[in-house]
Amino acid sequence: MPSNDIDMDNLFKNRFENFEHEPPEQMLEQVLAEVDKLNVPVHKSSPSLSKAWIYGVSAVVLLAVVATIVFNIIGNDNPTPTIRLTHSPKTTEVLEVKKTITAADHHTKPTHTAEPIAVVDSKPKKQESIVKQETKQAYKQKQDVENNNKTESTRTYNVDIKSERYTCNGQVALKAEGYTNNGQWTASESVQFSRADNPVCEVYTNYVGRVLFTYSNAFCSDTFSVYFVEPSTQLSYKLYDATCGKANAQIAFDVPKGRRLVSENMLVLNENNKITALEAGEYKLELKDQYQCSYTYVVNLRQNNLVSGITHDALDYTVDYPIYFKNNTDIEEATYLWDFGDGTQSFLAKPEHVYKTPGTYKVSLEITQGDCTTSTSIQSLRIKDRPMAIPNIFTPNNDGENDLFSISVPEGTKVFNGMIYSNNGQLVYKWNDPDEAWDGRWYNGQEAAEGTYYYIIKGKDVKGKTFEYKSFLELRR
Amino acid sequence: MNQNRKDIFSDLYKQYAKYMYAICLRYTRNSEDAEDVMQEGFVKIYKALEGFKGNSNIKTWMRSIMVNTAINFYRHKQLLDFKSIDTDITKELGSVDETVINQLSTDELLEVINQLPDGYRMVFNMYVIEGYKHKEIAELLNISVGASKSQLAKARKSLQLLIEEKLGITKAHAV
Repeated sequence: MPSNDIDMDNLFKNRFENFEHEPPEQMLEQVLAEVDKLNVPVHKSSPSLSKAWIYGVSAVVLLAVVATIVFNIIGNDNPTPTIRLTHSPKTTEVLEVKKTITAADHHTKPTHTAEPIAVVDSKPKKQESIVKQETKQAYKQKQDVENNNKTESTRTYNVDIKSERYTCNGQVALKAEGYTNNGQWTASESVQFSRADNPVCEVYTNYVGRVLFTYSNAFCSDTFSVYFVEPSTQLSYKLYDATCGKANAQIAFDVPKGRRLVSENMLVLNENNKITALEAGEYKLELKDQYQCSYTYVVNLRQNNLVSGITHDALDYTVDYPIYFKNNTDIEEATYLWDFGDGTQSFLAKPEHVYKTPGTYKVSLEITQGDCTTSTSIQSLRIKDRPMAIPNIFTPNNDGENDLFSISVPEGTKVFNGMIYSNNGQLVYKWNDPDEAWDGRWYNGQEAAEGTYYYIIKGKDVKGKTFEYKSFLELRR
Repeated sequence: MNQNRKDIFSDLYKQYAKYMYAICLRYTRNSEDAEDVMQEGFVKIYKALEGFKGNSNIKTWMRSIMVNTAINFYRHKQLLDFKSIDTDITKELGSVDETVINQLSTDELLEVINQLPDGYRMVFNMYVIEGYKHKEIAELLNISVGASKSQLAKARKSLQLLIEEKLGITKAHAV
């Protein structure tokens, strides 16, 4: 850890270690009020409420609607809680139970798998709206009376689940509430009920798509839909290891179309479905999509050096032949700078290079990612000359081009003999130094005539092996 | 019936409320959330009072309840949000040293901490101020040790950036 991190940490620690701040005045009162609620048996009110509800709803079904409204007002001994006020776990539970019962709010956080995710509530009215806004009662009563005028057997009660429910694993728990006597579950598609004659049951299906579920008895029937999505498939992902000892490792997910992933733990999945800026190490990834399909992976990110080595390959390490350079770094968004040691450079990850002159070259590679740069080099890449380059024509007219018949010999050639013969077999010129050349003149300096000549080039190469080349040569002026 | 317990509790509250509230402010985004956490935390403390054995410092004990409450507050709401600051971890910033930090009051520093994304703020507070180890943080936040370390590094960078922006040392960086 850099020392300035420690310094900064200490500065913050000193400031905040014993930092105090005056809480709002009414805080203690609020806390004590919450504490007092703990002594009230909050839990018990919930079952008795629902029991009362069954009677209440029965009364509605069999008797008059007005009676229920009155009951709703009386029976609702808990005032409708507002979210801001419920902080103690117990009151929060009550709130959630109520939310599950009314279940109108599809923003409710996913219920635990043990609990039914779909609830049909056969009570014919929206209790909350009546309690909250008594002015709506008159309208509500009118509606209910209208409903009641229909024959009991065909009447459809309000279904509080308006939003579609999605389920990922082909399973859903159903629960009908209210006047559920002698009812029966039915479904629009092929599904399997654990107990279709029970208001609470489990459903299993391989069906993908929307299924309408109906719970009905002699008096009422409610329908709602559940959308079964394809079960989770494995996501493909790519790992990018950390480099330069920095927290720059990444995990990139390939997310199928139509699925939106969110991270379930504190690893942040960004809008490109990447988790970035990670240190090397093992990570447990817990992801969920919008259908609550979950995905869990354990990945191991390594600490990588940017450059792990230069490799090269060529048909022949000689001039004028391409040499193929590679490095075993596989990092996206890195930039590469190759220096071939002969004054030329390349920015490609895997360049090829042709050397023009034989020699020993130092090849280096610098890889940069962000502000992280590493370089590596190989000291000696030996480039040989071509085996032997002998022209078959030359023009000694002093125009600066091809005025000499010169032979480029491999480096290290030990013995060299060059001989030129005229077409009648006379020796025209002879030289022993490969750096010299024939200038198109006889020994005596007289210009040789245009025409065809014969050459013999022989000697010993670097390893002492003899070589000899013989052929014709054309001289033009 | 519980009058005695309530009296003890009220005394504890009066003694430590300021300290606890400061913790709540540090772990939350704003005073509204801080009040919620404080209230919930003290209710938990009340309920847990019987379980307090007295073999640890009561202040530390209360603090850990408060910190856990703050963590759960955001986890429960699924509000853990890391996107609000796009910090380039590799960007070298001028070092934020004593002279820089001393230009800011503690309340101003608190504002800066409040601006941190939830995850960063949790890890930073737990590690730097409360002195939790990465392993403990990892367990409490249900993340890996590596993630805790990287969140801390990012939190530090973000803080530096926010402080420098607050003091006008660097221009707001283009994203």
